[in-house]
Amino acid sequence: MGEGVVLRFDGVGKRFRRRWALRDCALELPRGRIAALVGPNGAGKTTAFMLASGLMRPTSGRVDVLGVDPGRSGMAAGASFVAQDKPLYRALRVDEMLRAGAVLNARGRWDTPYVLRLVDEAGVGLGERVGELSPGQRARVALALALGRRPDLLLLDEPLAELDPLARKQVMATLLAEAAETGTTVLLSSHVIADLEDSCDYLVLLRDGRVRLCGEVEELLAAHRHLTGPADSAADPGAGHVVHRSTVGRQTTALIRDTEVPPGFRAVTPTLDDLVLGYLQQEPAPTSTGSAA
Amino acid sequence: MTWLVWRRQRAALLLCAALLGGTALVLVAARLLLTGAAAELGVTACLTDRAVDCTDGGRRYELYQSFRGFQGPARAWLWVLAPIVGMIAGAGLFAREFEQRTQVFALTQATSRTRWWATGIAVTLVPVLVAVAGLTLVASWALAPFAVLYEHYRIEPVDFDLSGVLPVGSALLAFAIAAAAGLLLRNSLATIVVTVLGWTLIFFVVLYDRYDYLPAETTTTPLTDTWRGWDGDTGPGTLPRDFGFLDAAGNRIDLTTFYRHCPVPTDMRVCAPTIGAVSVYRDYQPDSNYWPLQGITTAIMIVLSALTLAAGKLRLRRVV
Repeated sequence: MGEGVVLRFDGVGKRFRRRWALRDCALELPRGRIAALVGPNGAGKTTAFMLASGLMRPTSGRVDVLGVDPGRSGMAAGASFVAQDKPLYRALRVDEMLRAGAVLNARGRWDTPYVLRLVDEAGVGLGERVGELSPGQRARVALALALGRRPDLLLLDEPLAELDPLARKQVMATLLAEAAETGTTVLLSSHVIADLEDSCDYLVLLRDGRVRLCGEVEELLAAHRHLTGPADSAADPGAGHVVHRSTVGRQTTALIRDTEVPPGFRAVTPTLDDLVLGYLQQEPAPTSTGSAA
Repeated sequence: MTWLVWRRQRAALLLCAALLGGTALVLVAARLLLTGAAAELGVTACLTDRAVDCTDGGRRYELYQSFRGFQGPARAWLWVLAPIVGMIAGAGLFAREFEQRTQVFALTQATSRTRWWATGIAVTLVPVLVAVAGLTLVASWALAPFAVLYEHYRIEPVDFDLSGVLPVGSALLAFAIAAAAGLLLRNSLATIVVTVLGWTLIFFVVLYDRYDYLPAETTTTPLTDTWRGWDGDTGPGTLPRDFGFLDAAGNRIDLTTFYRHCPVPTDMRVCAPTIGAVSVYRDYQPDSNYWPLQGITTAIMIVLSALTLAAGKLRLRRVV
């Protein structure tokens, strides 16, 4: 693994019976980033997390997390994972759940005072039953348990799903504060681009089981233009440069990449939302990994 | 890790403890009631010494009738209790983890799959087997006077299955099937169904052959001797396996052939010599084979249990 890269997928594929959930995936996540993993349902996001956390083995290719192949060695010592449904022992009280975390990490690095502080800041009582916590509280406890491992890499699969707007804000605030304080690299997936726009500086876009886009958000945005122009314009930026194009009435909008703005079109730097939507609507999907990094 | 397994399995283990402890209390109470009743009737010796002639009078019969309704159901309950306890302990061990997806949490901490699997099994299984062994000892003590009263012997079916180390093997087998099925099926209900079916199938196959794991002993009686009956009875404390007739050369005469020549109710003492029979043989398992048979039968269950658990472990290694 290259210096400063904490997660690498090298030609990774994962097949379930006849269906490929991931295929020929290549990505690198540099240390210290807050990275967003986006894609539609069924794109392979959860599979990517399962491979990175060692819960599944790839059918092809190689996964490297902090220098470890998790498919062989299990979860890397310096990584933490929170699954989408935040699976905690629902019959346990919060203090028992924290003890479970300590017990299961007896051979790793576990910071009990830190976890207690995070749970306290979340306003969750230690005597409360995990199964009776609100989704937001459960997410905070799951996050505290993941951070308690003092990870270099934090993998979060849809950490904001099922949360109300206030809980989303609180969880993200905790996450970003802790990541900033500890320098932890974060890879999180979400359907809601607005949740990621202000917090993520790195983007991995999955679609149909393949990596379509991977790189620094600023560089990716700078490399693209969102065009608006007349529907009858003869100008063509070149088929290889158009990510997505749509015409409604007399107006055409397009997302283009790495090319000059054609005459007659107004160009602006796309928002992260424009960029992601453009790639999600792109068809037919090319096989390139599309790395812009 | 031990604490976590105990905490996860607490309800199941406490249920097992309640079932085993409650049964032990009932058995002890039953023994005390039986011996008390025997003392009142003045037939205490009928519960301790098989040699004592207790056939006279109605007092022993009264005692016999008073506890008849208890000893049958009690023995049946003991017969199923060991596998039930094994199933309760094993069914929730992994199936519930997968149902609630908490294995995702457990297996992404600093604990290997092997340690998670092995600790779960050890922490759950050891106390269950110790408790089943304890209950078996209590049951042997509590049911001893019942065995004398109702003329049961430890080598006989049911008594053989309820004593020695066989209940421990039975509980182990049920636990192993339940734990492995939990890993393979990831559903508590399906795990219980498969455990009941699997244990029943395997246990009955193993039990069906349990008296054939060692060669039977044989007694031979000349036809001229007094007949001891036609049921192959080999005396108290032994288990008859086969009987028939021998010719002068010591060869066994096929019983189908024999009865074709000497159909019941022919006088066998007259008819048997006409087809060359000179003596009667009786095969049986003696009481001295009790522990070797217990050991062999239980060893088979241990091997089957180990294989079943290993199959679950292989599955865990491949998929989560």
